Amino acid sequence: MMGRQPYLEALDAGAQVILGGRGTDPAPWAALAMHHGVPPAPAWYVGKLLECACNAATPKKHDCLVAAIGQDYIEVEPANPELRCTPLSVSVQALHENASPITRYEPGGVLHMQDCELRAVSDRRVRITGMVWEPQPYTIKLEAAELAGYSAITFAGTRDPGLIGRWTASSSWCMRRRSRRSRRSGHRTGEPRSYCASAAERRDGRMGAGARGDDARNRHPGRGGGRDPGNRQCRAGADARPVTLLHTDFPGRLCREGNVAFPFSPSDIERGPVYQFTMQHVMETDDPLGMFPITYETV
Amino acid sequence: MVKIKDVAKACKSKNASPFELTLDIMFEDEETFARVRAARCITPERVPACYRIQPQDVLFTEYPPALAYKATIMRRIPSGAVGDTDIYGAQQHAPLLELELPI
Repeated sequence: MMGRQPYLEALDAGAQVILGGRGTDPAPWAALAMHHGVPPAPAWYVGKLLECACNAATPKKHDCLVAAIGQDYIEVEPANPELRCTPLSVSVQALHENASPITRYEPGGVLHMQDCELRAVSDRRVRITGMVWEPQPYTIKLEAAELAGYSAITFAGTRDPGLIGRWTASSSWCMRRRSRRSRRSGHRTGEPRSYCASAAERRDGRMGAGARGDDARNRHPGRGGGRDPGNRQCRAGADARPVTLLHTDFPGRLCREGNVAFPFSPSDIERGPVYQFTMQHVMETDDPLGMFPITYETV
Repeated sequence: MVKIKDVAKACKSKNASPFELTLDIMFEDEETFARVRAARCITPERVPACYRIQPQDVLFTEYPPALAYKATIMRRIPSGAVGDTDIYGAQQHAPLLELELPI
């Protein structure tokens, strides 16, 4: 994930349009500001503001934000006269999709914002001062994802109080992961692997938490997959779920015709390959440009 | 006893990376925020308890400029991985809504 340097390099070389790969969100704006002589602290701060534009305004709306940047300050106001920036609306953006509103790590340093002062200079324009840039050894964030398998989903509901009342127990058979051993070995050898995982979601469902099951609107998407798209295990993984849901026995079962109601036929929907994140590291490097080659074209 | 859902202007969750989830609680005005601060009721202990995780596994920030609290926790399952039910982490705020505030 690149920092500001590749953008700055391209701007300094005269680029008018830049098509960039994955970078930190504020990097393109920070690079433009620094291209025009702005120091790192206000440049990185304004980058974070501009990346979401009028998320820093009120009412929050998809619209443009205009920033004036000095050596040690930023002033922002919305382009749309119906919107306003206030110290509160601007500080809200500091919370957006990050781990901390007062410390932000970027390639080559840390932006400290705990001593920032936000002051209204009009009823719709805010001045921000006090941000501090602390240079650190240059790092590049590395991300990676891998093919996790192939996915199919099934939607089904049940109104059977015997099943709903036993939901904790029944979800455990839904959640069990199959062929654990073959999946692990397949990861090393490249052999086909197959597993089923089911996500039980309720209207108040929590991430990774159990469900109590007191509501007939339970939804049970199940996913099955295999490493090899042509392998029968892939289809088997997907197909096994509807059959299991429909016909697995449970104590007190009165309706043996089927445990669940499927709203669609076929009941399973193929989603194709699915991927998962596998790495998030930072790598030290002396060359901010080395991993990000630039090519120039005249159009 | 009021709850967060009764007095907060915003109570929200979102991914902070594929592996982290961040929770924000914001208040409407300085007077309400001051009462919440004085009561010391949104803490690095109480927020993670809503998610059955330990305080040492939370990055907790009180952020007065936005009249807000932020807590960042690790996802149990990375975004989009097998078993994840909330790709953007946008619906993980609900356990906080019932947190009681003695203000």
